Amino acid sequence: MLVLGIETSTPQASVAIGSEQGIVASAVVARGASYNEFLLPAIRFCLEQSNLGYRNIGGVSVSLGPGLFTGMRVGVATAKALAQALSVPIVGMASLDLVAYEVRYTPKTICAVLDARRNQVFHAFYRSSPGGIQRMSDYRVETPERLAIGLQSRPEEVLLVGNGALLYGDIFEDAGPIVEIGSMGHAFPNARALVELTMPRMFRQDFDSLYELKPLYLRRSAKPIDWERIRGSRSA
Amino acid sequence: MRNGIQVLSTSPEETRIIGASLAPTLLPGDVVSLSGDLGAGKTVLVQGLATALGVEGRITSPTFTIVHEHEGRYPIIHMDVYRLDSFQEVLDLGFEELLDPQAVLLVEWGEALTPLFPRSYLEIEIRQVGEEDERLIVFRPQAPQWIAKLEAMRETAEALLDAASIEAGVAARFSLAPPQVNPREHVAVEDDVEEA
Repeated sequence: MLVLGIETSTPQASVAIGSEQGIVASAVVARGASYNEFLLPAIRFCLEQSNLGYRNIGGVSVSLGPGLFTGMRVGVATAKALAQALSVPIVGMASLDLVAYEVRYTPKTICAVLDARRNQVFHAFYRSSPGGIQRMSDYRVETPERLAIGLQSRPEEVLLVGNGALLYGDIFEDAGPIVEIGSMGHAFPNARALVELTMPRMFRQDFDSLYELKPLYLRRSAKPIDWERIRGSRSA
Repeated sequence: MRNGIQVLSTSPEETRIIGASLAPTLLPGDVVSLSGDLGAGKTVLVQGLATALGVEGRITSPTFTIVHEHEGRYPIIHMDVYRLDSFQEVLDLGFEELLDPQAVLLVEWGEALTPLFPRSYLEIEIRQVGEEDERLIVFRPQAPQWIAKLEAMRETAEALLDAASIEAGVAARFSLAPPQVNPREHVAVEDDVEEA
């Protein structure tokens, strides 16, 4: 079964086509084209280079973030449209899971950390388990300083991986000798890991509902903008 | 200087020159908030600033379109949040991505968004004073790095205003800004943004 994976939750966007036998084609870009300019041409490139057509796609998997807003919207909308048009199942996975999955062979606790902008990071903790990873915390968004405090309270060694780990490496390294920062090669979630991680769910027929699937938005705010106070403070 | 500086502008042309004087100090990733009532001249200041950053063509107010993106020396994102009612609407615009490290972000009515702003940004307030076209433009650095930028802006503005005006003593119109009445409390307000 060939699965098309779409990952656009960070500045490094990627698509991949693969099966249980491995990846047959993949494309990645980290600058220049916007997500919607990149996505469909990249999928076509992957199909053409591997002598495949849309008809050969048996399932679509998509990264739900957490990540950058536009990317998640474009990625999830494109994945849903393709799944619906091709009448194939869809599976959504978290971007942080993909980042952690790539370093699953470490005995250390894994903390996947992605840059959330505004001096915040998205993160979650994992440990490796037979055949994959197990998530041990909720997906969170908070400042790197607060995450560093959380790291200090941990007795075990932690491998921090992701572009957020690199960006705020100084802050995390100050958390003590138990912290190791993963390299640039593992900084972004990618569609190859997505396809690989999705495959068991495709076989179990553990699909997501096409109509209910949506990006993981960690930042919500019900707070209204207090225009009265703003205008009041002006005249004061 | 910690409280910032202010300058008296007597015409939209001078406001444009003052905006243009800020341009050489701006770098990708910089965020500027503009406050001031409707018609105060926020967009006029942005026009001078954006043109000096190499944007060609007309700069219009984004009040109804909310976000305008321009290509200058750097990408310039010009937004106006006047018509938004909640932080969720701001987040739904993809605000985090508008805080692009490769772009300069200029936000009209930015004081409404301080809980979502990075720690370092420049606040500009434009107040109508005295004569119809007279404006007091107050620059408040919200991080120490902006103080040097404001010094450089002041030097450029004084030279340009001198060159543009036949009146003597133009430079004297710059002065130190009084302390901020309602200092922005970032950390405290940040916690109000619900993170579910």
